Amino acid sequence: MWVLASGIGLAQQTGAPQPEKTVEPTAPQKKLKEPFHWEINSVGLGVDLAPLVLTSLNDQVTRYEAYTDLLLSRTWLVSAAYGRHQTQRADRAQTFDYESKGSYLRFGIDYNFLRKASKTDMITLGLRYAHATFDHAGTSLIDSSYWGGGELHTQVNGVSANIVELAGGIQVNLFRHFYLGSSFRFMILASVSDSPTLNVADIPEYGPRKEGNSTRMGYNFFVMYRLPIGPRKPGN
Amino acid sequence: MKRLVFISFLMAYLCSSCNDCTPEVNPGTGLLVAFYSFNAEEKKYEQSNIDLAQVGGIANPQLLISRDTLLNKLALPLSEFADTTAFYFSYPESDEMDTLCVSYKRKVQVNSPDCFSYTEFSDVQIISSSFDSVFMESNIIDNDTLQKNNVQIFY
Repeated sequence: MWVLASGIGLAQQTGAPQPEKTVEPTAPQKKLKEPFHWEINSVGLGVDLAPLVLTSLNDQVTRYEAYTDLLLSRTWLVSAAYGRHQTQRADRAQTFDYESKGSYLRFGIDYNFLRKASKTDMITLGLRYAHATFDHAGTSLIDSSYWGGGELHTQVNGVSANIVELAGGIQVNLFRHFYLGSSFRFMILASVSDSPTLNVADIPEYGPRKEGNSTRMGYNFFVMYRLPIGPRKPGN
Repeated sequence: MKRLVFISFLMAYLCSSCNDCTPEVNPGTGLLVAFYSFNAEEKKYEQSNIDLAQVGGIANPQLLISRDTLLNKLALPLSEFADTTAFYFSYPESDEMDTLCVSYKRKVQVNSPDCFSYTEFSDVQIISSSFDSVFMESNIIDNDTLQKNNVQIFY
């Protein structure tokens, strides 16, 4: 082996002189930034599983939510959701029943932070606006030492509320075009319409409301089918 | 990433079971009435005792005061079943009787959905009165924290 290596070295030394290669200096090549262009990548259709779990565990709460979104340029998610909500509650002493029943529409836009890092999964941050309309009623058991006792029923229909939300979430690809996602929403109760005879205690989408507090956390856990749209690209 | 989704679901489920019941005071139903008479020496009206024989709600045969009583302040219970309540006041050894009728707005306040409720009275207005003069000092009912009387009656 040593002999062979020495022989090659000798041959190189004794061979014809090689012209020296000169390397011309070149300017460092700029990585070309891909021009951003708008395109619809997919349409998502899903249901929120969190309200379904809540509904199955608590017979006083019935909630459903359907969800849809558009994925634009793998960067923006424009979403809409429709939900129905019914809550019946009673105090521990059984002197008061409260029922709230209605629906809500929610629109939002999210930014996907994994648009370059992942072709399928997403980590998002976005804003939502929700509008809820509902009827609510309360029945109080009055026990006045002077005026006597009895049931006092109060009902107010057509109450509405506006909610602004900051949402952070993740979406992961389960298999094929099926995705699993979750999001935490910081909800701010922007306004509630007048309910002159009964205090609003439970709002569709927002949930239980406490006097003097207009913020609350919300949660979605959804499964969805993402239908690809447009020219197929790897990962889309 | 998939684990993260399931962990977030567990966290949300654990947080949703938190109790949201907080204690809160009940402002009560009593309309606080104070009686004033003219002090000739001091030449001004001041809170003073009135001699009452009977006090009751006009729609209720039950009496709030049923025998001669001297008092300068009285809590009249407002009805939670109506938007107006009227009271009568009779005097010992006299056929005279005075009345006071007030209207108000009622709102059922839910302390929190899992806790109790109470009726909140606001915008109390004097509809009619047969006293010499009446003055509305405060038009909200808050028996716990309000230091003011609701109505001043001058007799």
